[in-house]
Amino acid sequence: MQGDAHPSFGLDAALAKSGYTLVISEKTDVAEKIASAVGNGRPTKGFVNGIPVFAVNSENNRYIICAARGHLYGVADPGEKRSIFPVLDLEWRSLDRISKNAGDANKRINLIRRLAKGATSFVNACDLDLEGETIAANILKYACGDAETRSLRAKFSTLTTENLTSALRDARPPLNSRLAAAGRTRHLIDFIYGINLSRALSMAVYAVRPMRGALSIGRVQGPTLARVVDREVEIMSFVPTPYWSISLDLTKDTGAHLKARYLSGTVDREARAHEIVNKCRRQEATITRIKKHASQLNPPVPFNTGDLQREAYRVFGYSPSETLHLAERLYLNALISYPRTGSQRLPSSLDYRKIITQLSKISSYATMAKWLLAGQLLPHCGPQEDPAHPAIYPTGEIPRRTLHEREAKIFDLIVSRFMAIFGKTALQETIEAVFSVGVHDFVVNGSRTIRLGWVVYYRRYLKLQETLLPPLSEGEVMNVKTVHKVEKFQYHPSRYTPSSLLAAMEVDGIGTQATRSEIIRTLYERQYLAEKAMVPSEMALTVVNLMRTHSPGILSVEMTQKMEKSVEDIRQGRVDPKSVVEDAIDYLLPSMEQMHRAQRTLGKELARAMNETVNSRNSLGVCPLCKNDSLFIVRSKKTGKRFVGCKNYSKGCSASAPLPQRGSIIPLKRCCKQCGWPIMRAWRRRRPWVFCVNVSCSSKVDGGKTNLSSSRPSITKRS
Amino acid sequence: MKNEKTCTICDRPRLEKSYCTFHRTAYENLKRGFKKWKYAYVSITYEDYLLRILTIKETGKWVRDVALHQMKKTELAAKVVSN
Ligand SMILES: [Zn+2]
Repeated sequence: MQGDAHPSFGLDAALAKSGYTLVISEKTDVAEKIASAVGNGRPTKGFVNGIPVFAVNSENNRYIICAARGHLYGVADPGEKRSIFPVLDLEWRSLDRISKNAGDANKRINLIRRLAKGATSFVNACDLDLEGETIAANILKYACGDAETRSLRAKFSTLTTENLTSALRDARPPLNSRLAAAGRTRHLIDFIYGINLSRALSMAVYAVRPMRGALSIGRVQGPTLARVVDREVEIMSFVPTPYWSISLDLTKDTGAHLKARYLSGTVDREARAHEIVNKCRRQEATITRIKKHASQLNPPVPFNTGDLQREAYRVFGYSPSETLHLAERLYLNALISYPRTGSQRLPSSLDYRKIITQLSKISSYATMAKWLLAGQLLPHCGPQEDPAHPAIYPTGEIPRRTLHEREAKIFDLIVSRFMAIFGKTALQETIEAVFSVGVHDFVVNGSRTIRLGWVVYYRRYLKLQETLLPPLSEGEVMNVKTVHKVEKFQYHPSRYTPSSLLAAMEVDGIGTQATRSEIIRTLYERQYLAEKAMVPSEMALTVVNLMRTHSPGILSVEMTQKMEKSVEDIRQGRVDPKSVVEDAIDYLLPSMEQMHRAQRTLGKELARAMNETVNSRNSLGVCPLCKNDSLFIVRSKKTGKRFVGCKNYSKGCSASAPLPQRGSIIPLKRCCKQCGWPIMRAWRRRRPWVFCVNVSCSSKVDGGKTNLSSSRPSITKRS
Repeated sequence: MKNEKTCTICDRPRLEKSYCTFHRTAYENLKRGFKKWKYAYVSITYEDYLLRILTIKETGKWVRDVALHQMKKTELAAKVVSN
């Protein structure tokens, strides 16, 4: 084997003879790990057109292992004319024939096609879920000559040598291809919805005003966006209602004092609040009831994807997609099990003692591991199950490299949670003392911890609240020192956070563990949401409002739930994929017709909303030179470059500043304390930095870039 | 001059009366809210209610827009009557 067509150096010999097993993984790191795990000796690594391939011999087999790097095939519209819809006649194509950003997909397909020729058997070692199965099914079908039915399935949930070796040894023919069929059907339905609805919206705008930028809406994206918009409408139309809270400052002759609140809660009439205050002033309060209650706090359950994403947002503020990305890196380093899982359960076959013993070699876990190993290890698991993978757990492998700060935090969160599930129930005592002043009752609450239990393993992330009370007894009398009456107003509902939106999607049953965080990220990318605070743009408000008027079914949670159920039914073998796609089309077509009939109305409204969104996004507020609200991000018509400029340029204002030309930038809608120019956030390749746009600002350090990452210590490799 | 087909307050298309769908929702909430305020304070007038609503930070942005618009309308009406 020579030249470009063949793998180089040591691989030549390995590939010269046919009759090997071709193993296809989803990622190169996994391919490398499999190669190291299954062979007798060191694997041979080579490159073909820059794509890595691994060859290794085991006792009774020869393996050639290569990676797909995600999807190599996607659904496409064979028509290719962007202005034509509905698009219902679809085909699967290699990614390079669909997108300009297909990377090296074509090289990988060509390589797999060549390797398949010399293979006598195939092993699918892609991730064991809907996406992984779809990736593998397409490769085996299109690049390996319909090898789908002849292939074996390697099942593993961690990348430890032990797990990979047994997975390859025990690889079996798949029982059926239903998981792949379910995955492929989901892709088809999503493509049909995405392409048709997005084209209908974009063409409506184009019919009114040719303008840059496409609009998008999808099967899961629509109902998710509608949730955020509905919440915003509630907030923006919120009328606060008044109420009064009443409390007493109580004193004892011993000098002790307590604050008691009105037992019936709040008062909704001012006159009634006055009356209560007048009745309590300068009176005595008698303790009429003391109730003690011991409450148990059960240990937490192991993380599934959603639980991990929510917890990482709560304790670190990481977005769901970032958490998943970090967890995947830990998985690829064999430190944790597969992080895309719905399960809150751990297999009983797992050797908990071995994992904890190995974790004890990391100094920060040594003491806690010792406590756990001294007793019986019974995990507290949750109710949710996933047929493909268990809950997320540490494998017990020790980091071989210094983990990046954010990786280290997620790793610590997973390890702490894993240890906590073996802890004892925590116990707290709560005390409720009721004070009566005439006919009015007030209450004081206290709590103290009796046993920390599992909380000791999770104390970095959870503190039990304690309110200690002085000794109190029934019949005891205290003096009312002051009566407080505070006029308050109801607060509007909170905006969604990435974490609460993720939880709402889970409750609604829309999207999957693997896709939900991506959907949320897409809402940001499509400019439907402003940064972090989840404030929908004018475009989001308008799209949802118009869809509700003209095609309400598209935003319906029930519709999306029904389709998710149909996909599950395919997986269970209860329904034919073809009928699911037909049903989806039947549901979509009337909406498309309605949108087409209202094209002009939609177009005018969407064009206005797009303009407003772009203007608001590019607005930088007050110009530091002419003091008008006129500073904007401008794009030069001549060079296409972006920069900061003042709208009063023609009137003589010379304010301007250069901007980074690559990556994303977002105005933070605040000014530099040093010079008054706007502050912006930029990021490139997931690395964010915040900067003042003024090049001569005195705050500039390191060329004006301020890296956002803090300097917390990270978990380091074993010495 | 504002386009006759747009909301009195913003640039969105107006519904049958003078507001867009969002300002219309805010207007209806404002009317409903007055009943609750009347129950809470008994003797409050609609004008005082609008004034107070504007000073509370929890009040929604679209409600503020409508409250301001209503106040302007009332002032205008008062001027017309006094002239
Ligand atoms: Zn309006």
